[in-house]
Amino acid sequence: MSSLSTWLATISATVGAPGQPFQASWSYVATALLAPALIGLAAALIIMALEKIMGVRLGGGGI
Amino acid sequence: MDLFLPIASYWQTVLAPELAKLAQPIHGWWYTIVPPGQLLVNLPAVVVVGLLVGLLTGFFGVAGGFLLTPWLNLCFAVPYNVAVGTDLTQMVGTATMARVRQGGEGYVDYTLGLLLFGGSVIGVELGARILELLKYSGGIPAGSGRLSWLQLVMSCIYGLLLLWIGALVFREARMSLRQPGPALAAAMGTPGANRLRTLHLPPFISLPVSGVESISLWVVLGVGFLSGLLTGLLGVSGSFVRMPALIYVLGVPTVVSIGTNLFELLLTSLYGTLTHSLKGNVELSLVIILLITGMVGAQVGAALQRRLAHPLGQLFFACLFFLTIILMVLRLFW
Repeated sequence: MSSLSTWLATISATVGAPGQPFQASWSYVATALLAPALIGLAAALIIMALEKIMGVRLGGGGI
Repeated sequence: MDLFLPIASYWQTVLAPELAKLAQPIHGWWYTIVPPGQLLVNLPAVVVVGLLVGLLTGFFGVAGGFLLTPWLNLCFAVPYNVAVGTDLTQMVGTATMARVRQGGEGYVDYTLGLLLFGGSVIGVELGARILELLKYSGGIPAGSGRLSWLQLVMSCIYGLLLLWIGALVFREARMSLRQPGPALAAAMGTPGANRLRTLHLPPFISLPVSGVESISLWVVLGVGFLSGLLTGLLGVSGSFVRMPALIYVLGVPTVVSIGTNLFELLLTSLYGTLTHSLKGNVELSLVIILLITGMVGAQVGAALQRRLAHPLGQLFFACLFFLTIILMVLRLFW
C-alpha cells in the first residue's frame, strides 16, 4: 500500500521546470487511463462469477 | 492514517500561493495541510465517502455521483479541478464494468454512439479548458484570505446543479408519497423535444439500428456536445442529459438508448481522462480508492434498495443535496 502510494506520488509530479505550467509524465497519463479500466474489468468479472455461482442478478451498475 | 495527495497539493499552492509559506499546519474536517503546502487526507474518511457515494448510487440508481466532486472539495479540500478530473477518471472504471457486464445483452447503435462522441469530444475539451482558465485566473479578496475564481465559480455552478437535482428528487418523492406507484417521467416528452427532432437543418442522417429515419446531424452532435461539456467541466457522466435526449429528442428506443449511452460514456470518459490527466487534474490514489469503495457501496446500495425502497428515502436523498449546498456556501465564506 505504502509503496503503491509512493509510486503514484512519484509519477504524479510535474516533469516541467519549477514555475512552469503542469507537465504530465507519460506514465501518469497511462496509469490514469489504464488503472480504472483494469479495476472495472476485474470488478465486472468478479460480479459475473458471483452471479453465476449464486444464481442471482446483482445490481449496482448505475453511473 | 493519512494519505498524501501530490496533485491536489500542487494545485493548492498554485491556487493559494500563501499555503507554500505556511508556518503551522492547517487542520480541516478530514484533512491537514502541512508546510510547505502538502495536503494529507484521512484515509478512513475517504473510504467512508467512497462507500457512501456508491451506496447512494446503488440505492437510487442515479445522481449519487453528483455529490462526489463537491464532497471531495468540502471534506478534503481537494481543489475543484482535481475533484472533477478524479471523478471523471474513476468513471472509466464504472463505465468499463457496466459495459462488460452488459456484454451481448445490450443493443448498441455504434453509428449513433460515435456521432455523439464526436460532439462530446468538443464539449469535454471546452469544459476542461474552462477549468484551465479558472485555474490560472487568480482570485478575489475574501475575509482574511483570498478566494480563487475556480472555487467561487465551481461552487456556484455545482450549487445550482445540486439545487435543481435536489428539487427534482424532492418533487418525485412528494408525488410518490401522495400517490404511491411508479412515477411517470411524462413531462420529458415536451413539445420542445419534438421541435428539435423535426429541426430542418441539413445534413440529415438516418440511424437504421435505432429506427430513426431522418434527423439533423446537428441535433445529434448538439446532444453529444452538451453532455460532453457537463462531463469535462463538472466530472459527471452526462447521462441525465443524454438518456432523455436519446429517447425523447432523437426517438431512440429505450433498450438501444441504454446500450448506446454506455458505449458513448466509455469513450467520453476515456477522452475526458486523457485531457484532464494531461492537464494534471487526476489524483491517482483517490481514483483507485473511490472506484473500489464506490463499486462495493453500489452493490450494498442495490441490495438495500430491494428491501428498503420508500419515498421517504428519496426525501432524505433530496435533503443530502440541500445540505451539501448549505455547506458549500458556508465554506465559501468561512
